[in-house]
Formats: sequence, C-alpha cells, structure tokens
Amino acid sequence: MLPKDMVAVAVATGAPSLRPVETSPRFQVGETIRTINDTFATHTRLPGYARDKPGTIVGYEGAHVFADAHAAGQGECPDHLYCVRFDSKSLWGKGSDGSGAVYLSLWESYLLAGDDQ
Amino acid sequence: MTAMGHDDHTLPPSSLALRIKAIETLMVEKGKIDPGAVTEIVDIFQNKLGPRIGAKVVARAWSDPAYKARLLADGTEALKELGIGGLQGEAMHILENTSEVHNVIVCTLCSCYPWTVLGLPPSWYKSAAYRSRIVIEPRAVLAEFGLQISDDREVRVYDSNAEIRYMVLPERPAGTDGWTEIQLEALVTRDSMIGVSALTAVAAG
Repeated sequence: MLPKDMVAVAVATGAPSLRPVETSPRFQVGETIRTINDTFATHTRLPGYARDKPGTIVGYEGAHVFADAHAAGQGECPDHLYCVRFDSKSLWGKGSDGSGAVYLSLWESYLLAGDDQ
Repeated sequence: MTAMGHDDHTLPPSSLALRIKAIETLMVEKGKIDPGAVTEIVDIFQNKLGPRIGAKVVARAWSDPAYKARLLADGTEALKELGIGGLQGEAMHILENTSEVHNVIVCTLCSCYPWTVLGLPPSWYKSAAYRSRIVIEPRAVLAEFGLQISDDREVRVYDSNAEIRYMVLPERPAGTDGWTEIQLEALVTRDSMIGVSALTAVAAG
C-alpha cells in the first residue's frame, strides 16, 4: 500500500517501462513494415484501425514492458518498441481528409517485414 | 396529494460518483489504499501539476535555440534539465509545429496524456468522439476547434497507444521578438500544446 508520505516521491519517479533486453531490434529506421492482422480478445495496444496496414519505421524507442503480456499476468516480457508512421491514405483510403499521417508506438511482435506483404 | 418540497432533501450523487465512492471505500476497508494518499494524489494533480509547466518549457525552447535542439532530440532528458519528469511522463517526445507540419496528440485506446507537463487531460480529450475522429478526419476536428489547416500542410496525429507521451511545441507567434520568457509563457495555452489550437500574439503587457 502506498502511504501518504510516499505519494509525492512516486509521482515524481513514475514507473518507467524501459527495460534492457539481450536481443537486437529487428527493424531499422526507414524500413517499411506491415502490421499483423490478428484480433485479440485480451488487452492489446495495437488499435484495430492499424491492423494489417503498411507503415514505415521512423523511430526506435528501446525495449519496453510488453503491455499485452503484462496485462495477462505473464510478466513484463519486454520487447523492442518502434515509432511507426502510417500515411492517412493507407489507413482511411478515400475517407482521408488530406495530407497527413498517424504515428503509433508498436512492439516488434505486431510487425511483419514489408517483404512479407 | 402531499406537497413535496425540494428543499428537504438533496439529490443523490451521479451513479459514476457513487461507484467511485463505493470502490474507494472498499479499498480503504480492505487496507489496499491509504485514504490520506488519495487526498495527496488529488492535491498534486489539482494544485501542483498543470499546463503552466508545459508553457514554461515552450517559452524556454522559443528563447534558447540550444535548449530547443536538445528538447526535440531527447524530450525526456531535456525536461529533466528543468526538473520535470515522473508519472505519465517517463518517456517524452516533443513535436515541433512548423509551417509544413501540424502535430496533434490523442490516445485512441484510453486517455493517455503527458501529466508531467500538462497535468490531467480535459474531459473532451477523453471523449469517444475526439478519440475516434481525430485520427480519421483531423482537419475537420481541428476546424471545429477553430483551427484551419491549409491543404499544403501535413497533419500528424500522434496516438499515445503505448508508454511514450507527447507534447506539441506550438509555433512562436509573429510579433514576439524580444519578448522575455515570462511574457512568452503567458501566451501559451494548454490546447496549443495538445495541438488543437494555434497561438496569436497579443500586445506585450
């Protein structure tokens, strides 16, 4: 239980999710990817609108606690996290309302190499 | 027929407020939370954190090009220089608005928001309408906020779906050359750091 006098410390410290991992990231900035097409009945951070969509890796965030596994009580299972850009047209087709893009933070297990398309 | 006055009773709280009260009471009785800690958390987020912190960061970035470069390169570390960090701001990116690019933030999955620089989110930020529409038709939504984005400008929507938090660095209004950081800070609004409004200069006070 968090006691009253520890609240300020806890708020100031936060709960960073960055973790060291042994593996190297599979994707490099600039690579094209496609997201997986899986639906999940359990907690996930892959929004439905971004399933099975082409995108571009624009940043690497380090390895972070994998929220899907953590929420399922499977432990932290940290994995590489990327900043991925999805052009509005590829997400929304004719529904796109102009030049733009959506940026998402996606774990490596959500991503397939662009060649897999 | 009995005349029932309205001044002899009070309306019950909303069902949501009652549910929260019931959960809080149960958690206190089970020894899971310290009621003093709850009061302390509410005090911090109501009175100590908020968008004036973000406004200081923006004014510093506008005034100090070297700081701005560090802020855009590594938001988390540059914020630490100003003593800013903590819960819901553990990993931060600062998004610079320019004449070519307009950035706006959302959390489509829930209501993630950069607490360390902006405090708690406004209720519209948590609404299903904002969260679902801003990714699909950002120009239409921004227009409803009174912000027209020209066709030749790209709109980038940052969906805070994981543990990375974002804050927008709005464009510095024209006519503010020579203004002090304190003067600049006063111009910066919460909504401009979410990316749903732009800033205009008013006469320096």
